[in-house]
Amino acid sequence: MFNLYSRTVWLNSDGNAHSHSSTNEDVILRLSGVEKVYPNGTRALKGVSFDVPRGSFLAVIGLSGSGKSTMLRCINRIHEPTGGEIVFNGQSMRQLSARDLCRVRQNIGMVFQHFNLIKRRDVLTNVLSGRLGQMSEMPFGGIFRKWPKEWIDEAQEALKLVGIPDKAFVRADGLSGGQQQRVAIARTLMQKPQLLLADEPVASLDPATSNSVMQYLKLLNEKHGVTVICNLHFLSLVREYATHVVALRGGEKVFEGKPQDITEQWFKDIYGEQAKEVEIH
Amino acid sequence: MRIPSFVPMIESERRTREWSGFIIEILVWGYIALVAARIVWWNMILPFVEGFAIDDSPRAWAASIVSALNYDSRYSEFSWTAAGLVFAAGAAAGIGFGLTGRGFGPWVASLSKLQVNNPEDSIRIRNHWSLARKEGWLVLALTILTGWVLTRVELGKMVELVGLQSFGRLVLQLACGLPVIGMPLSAGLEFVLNGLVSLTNATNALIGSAGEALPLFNLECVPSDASYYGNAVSKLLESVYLAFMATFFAVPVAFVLAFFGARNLTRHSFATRLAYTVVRLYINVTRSIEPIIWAILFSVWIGIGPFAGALALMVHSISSLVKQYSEAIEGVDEGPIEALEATGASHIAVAWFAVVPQVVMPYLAFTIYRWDINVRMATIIGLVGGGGIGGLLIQEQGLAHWTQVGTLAALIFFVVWTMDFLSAKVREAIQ
Ligand SMILES: Nc1ncnc2c1ncn2[C@@H]1O[C@H](COP(=O)(O)OP(=O)(O)OP(=O)(O)O)[C@@H](O)[C@H]1O
Ligand SMILES: [Mg+2]
Repeated sequence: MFNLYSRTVWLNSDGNAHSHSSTNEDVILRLSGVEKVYPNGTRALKGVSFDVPRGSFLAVIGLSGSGKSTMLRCINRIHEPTGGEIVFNGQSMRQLSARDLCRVRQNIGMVFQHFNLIKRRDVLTNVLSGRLGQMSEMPFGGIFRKWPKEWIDEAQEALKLVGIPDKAFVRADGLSGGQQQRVAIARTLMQKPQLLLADEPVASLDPATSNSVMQYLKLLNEKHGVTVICNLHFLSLVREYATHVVALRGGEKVFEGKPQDITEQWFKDIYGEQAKEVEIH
Repeated sequence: MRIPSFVPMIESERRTREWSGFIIEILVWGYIALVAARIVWWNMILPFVEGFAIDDSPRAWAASIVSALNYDSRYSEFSWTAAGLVFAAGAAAGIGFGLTGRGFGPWVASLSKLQVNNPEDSIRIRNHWSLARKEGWLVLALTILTGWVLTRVELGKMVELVGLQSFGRLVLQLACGLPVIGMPLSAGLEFVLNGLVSLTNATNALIGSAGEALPLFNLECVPSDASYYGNAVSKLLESVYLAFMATFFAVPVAFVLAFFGARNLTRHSFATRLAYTVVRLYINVTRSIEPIIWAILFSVWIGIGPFAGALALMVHSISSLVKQYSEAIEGVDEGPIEALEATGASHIAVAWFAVVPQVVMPYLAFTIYRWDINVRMATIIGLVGGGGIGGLLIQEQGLAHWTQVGTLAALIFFVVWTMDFLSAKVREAIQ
């Protein structure tokens, strides 16, 4: 059904994805001492370090304002980190030139809380836009090119995979939240990343829809070997889907381990003494 | 010059603000002194005193003042030296007030969005600025006085009969020029005006005031003929098309420049930040020069005619559109931009796929509005040789052909009103 994912590991556009990662085969991403100071002086990250094993499903938890979104955006340099080192596939992200950054970003997908679709365009265009990275070398960023026929077929295929093949020609703002998030996942499918950054992908969805969206992320992770880093607010989801957990508080890492290691005490440490766990199914 | 700490402001800026407040205070008092001397003393008090001195029965005190000062309103001039001295005296006072840190200058310099948390502080702030308030009112009063003197406001002239009569004649002639309704309208107006004149004459006779009776209006209305309309309408169309061309060719240029004029798309590299500065500088300079000046420049360059007018409007339209377009870009939802950047798309692709869909509708509205403005301006541009109906208008006005001027004004009004109506409808429909 999905020839889309026939290869377990997708290659870099320059074709040498893992040639240099033999020493740390199992680590896809390494953060060491990552810092971020926003122009207004806010110190959002104060030296965060951890490793992300290839193929893992890493959940990032922490209170609002603890720096989760900032950290994700620093990884693919949507926000420039101001200190520390980020190594993706053995390559130092912070040293990349603008052009190389475009190339590396093609291997890092991203899903957002508010879906961030192009609202006034149809779903198919939104899904296809996951491939824009591959057009970036063309004159004018490929904006005057027509989408190749095979890509359109793949996009239809991706929409089928996330269960909304009939919505291809509907404008994106005509979809429900859950459907929009599935379009965003289809966009990522088109991009075929090795790493997926998901910033609270289910925070604005109802519990049932949340679970189905999480299922798609799990599918990506387990069937297609995409490493997932996912900001989550609900520990029940963390326990159900994540293989690894990192917790942030005030821009610092306060916990790293397995979901089942989060004890009552850790929970209080991460979320504060007053916190009580809420369930979501 | 210290501004006390209970006045809220960003602490790192306090020093600079104190200094700017001090300087503003000096300038303000210089201004107060200058206006007081030049306008109040020189233009109002001295002529008043002089009036007593040269009266039929001169007053000794007035004559002595005038001769002591060697003042004569016909010849005396307010010298640059005097102006300098007065200003310096005011500035010296300003230094004194400035040092207290309580005047108008420090108040202006201390303005910020910051809120006071402590209610006691807001009372202290109120008291602190009591001098500043008085100074502010003084400046406002002096400025209004100056404006009054400089624009030579003479309300009396508005009710002088000679002026009213010329005004009435002009109105009748203009009314006569209106298409279709011209003749009956001007006849009707004449009837009403003559009624007023008769009434005035009757009242004058009744109260026995001297002077002749006012003549009745008697205008022979010869409306513009068909061939005149033909000529006028063709000129009018010239203006409309000229405006269209100017708008049409301004759009693509503005479209491209707007991306470089938007802060949120030009943050990422030195080159784009430079482009931003250049574009902003360009639009600020070209926008600050009125289209009518551009029309003069272009008609000197390429000769009088509609082409010069179209170029003038285009230059102005480009910068206005860039400003509006780039503000639209700055207001877009950043989400899709982030999402596409994350896929590794190039900046051009991000702009095209994430920004453009969000701004087409506002662009359309701005563009139609710009065309509407350009049609209005095109009629004005003609006044200085930019072609179109404005040229005809200024010509007829120079020859005092008021009936024709009335015709042209009516035609212009009709087109401008139609454009305004249509553009409002379209903008409403697409919002
Ligand atoms: N663009 C920005 N400019 C300045 N400060 C920012 C910016 N974005 C975030 N911050 C600050 O950085 C800190 C971390 O914010 P971040 O959005 O990463 O938190 P978060 O953990 O994702 O929170 P949430 O769960 O609410 O999404 C906060 O104090 C926030 O105010
Ligand atoms: Mg966040």
